[in-house]
Amino acid sequence: MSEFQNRRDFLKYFIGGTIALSGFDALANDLASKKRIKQLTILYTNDQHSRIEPFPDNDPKYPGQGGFAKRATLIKEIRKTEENVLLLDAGDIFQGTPYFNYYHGELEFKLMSQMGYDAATFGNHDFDMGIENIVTQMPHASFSFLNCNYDFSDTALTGKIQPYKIFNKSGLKIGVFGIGIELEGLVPKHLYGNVKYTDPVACANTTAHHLKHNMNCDYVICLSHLGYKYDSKKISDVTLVPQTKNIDLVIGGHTHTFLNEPVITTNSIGKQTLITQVGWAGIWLGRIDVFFNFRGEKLFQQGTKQNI
Amino acid sequence: MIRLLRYSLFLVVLSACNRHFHVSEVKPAHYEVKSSKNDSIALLSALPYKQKLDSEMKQVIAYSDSNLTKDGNDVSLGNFACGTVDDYVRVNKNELAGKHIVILNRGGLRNNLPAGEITKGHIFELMPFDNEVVILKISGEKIIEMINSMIKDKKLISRNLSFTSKDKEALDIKIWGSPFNIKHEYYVVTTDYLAMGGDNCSFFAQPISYETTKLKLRDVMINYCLTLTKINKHIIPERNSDVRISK
Ligand SMILES: [Zn+2]
Repeated sequence: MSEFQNRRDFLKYFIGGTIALSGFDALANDLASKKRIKQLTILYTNDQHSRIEPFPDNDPKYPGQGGFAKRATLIKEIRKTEENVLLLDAGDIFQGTPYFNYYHGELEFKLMSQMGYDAATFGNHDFDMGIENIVTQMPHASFSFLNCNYDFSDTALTGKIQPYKIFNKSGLKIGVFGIGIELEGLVPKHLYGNVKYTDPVACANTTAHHLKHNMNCDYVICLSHLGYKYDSKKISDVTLVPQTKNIDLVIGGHTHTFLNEPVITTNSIGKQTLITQVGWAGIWLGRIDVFFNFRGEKLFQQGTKQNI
Repeated sequence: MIRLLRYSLFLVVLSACNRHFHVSEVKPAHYEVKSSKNDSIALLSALPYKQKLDSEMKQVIAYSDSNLTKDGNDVSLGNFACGTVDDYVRVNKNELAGKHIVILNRGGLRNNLPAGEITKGHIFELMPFDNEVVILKISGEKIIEMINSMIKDKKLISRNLSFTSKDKEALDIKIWGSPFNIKHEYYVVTTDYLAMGGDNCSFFAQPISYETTKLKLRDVMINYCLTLTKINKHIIPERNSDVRISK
């Protein structure tokens, strides 16, 4: 659906068609001009796994799908019409094709920089050639690496990773931070070295609170490589959200889950938090549009079937 | 909340008045990256990398009669992977014949194999990790722990081991067709990743003996393909499983 057929469809789509048309005149001053409504366009990937080229045409599952150069075109086209684009990745950029075995992630970072990625977080496979390799490849990346629950202080990455970054988009302050999965048992110890894993829930709460209340961010995005959901008690995006507040959107990874659209969940104070993930290998490019009023208050989010 | 609803309402009205107001256009939640044109700058940047890789990766090393996958109940890809290791042991470690189990992890197999020509690149994508093949000797008790983990987590795949599970318990365990004996010691041929406790394989800790073949699992697979081709054979998918785990 590219456009609503009529006003009733629009009402149904966004507000369930349940409220009456009344009482909006008081807001007329606030919204005198439609220019005062700001739109943020969030584009995202996760678990790219070095899939530089599309899957071959005879692939049993994803023939002809994915490819960095096709994604680059899509992103360029979106940038032509949208002013405030934020391009993010939720980790596992590395590992999966010979491009990584031979070039160790160099081309992945170069092409992502050309596409204008703003930030990424680390997935477990980003450590597959060790901490030193990440340090070696970082000069090829013009985007930031964000993580708040790995302690890098005793590693070669110390001072190179920020817990969060704030992006200013037409006056909107967008806070983005990253959290990573427990590496023990998942990555050989000699590869992740002295990276210390700390509780992602505590760190997410501290960082998100700081972003919303101290730094006055209008919208807070968590880049998570915890995984969408597990049968066991292992922490995942689905179990993280009810234990946190101040996060508007979780862009997830690790479980290679294809979510057709973001899932609407409830945080610890009953507010809505979206969780999203777009499979792996760059087969999909995710998109969420968030609309704000001139005060930076979130009005609604497209990409979901419901209003906030 | 009421205030937000009012805002939405106002937008609704704006939308109704002006069809071109961009808020009223529904944007997709995701794009399928499939039919877009390639960005020429990205292609150009990747070209030198691609050319160097292609000269090696496009090399056809085998031919498969049909797709090998790990989708749903399809065990053909797992059987292929374990089969290459088993073949390596049969040829190079004959003294282990009849005593060894091959154990790999399903999650370590990262891509399906298509029907038709199999290139070196396909095997790199199936097994991108540089894991080496190692041989462990472990007790019968540890084998039971391993089987329990196979039933519980369904992460490990095997060769030369058969059992059925009922109510989370393994029945009729056989190794190379002979009944399993908990008092015996067995050889497990696996990867250094699992031997080091990856995928929660704690039962491989402190084995009775540990020997590395110094060969990457990927190279074992590539050599297997080259050998098959040399004797004019195809990869024939095996879709039966010796391990039956009930839900
Ligand atoms: Zn991944």
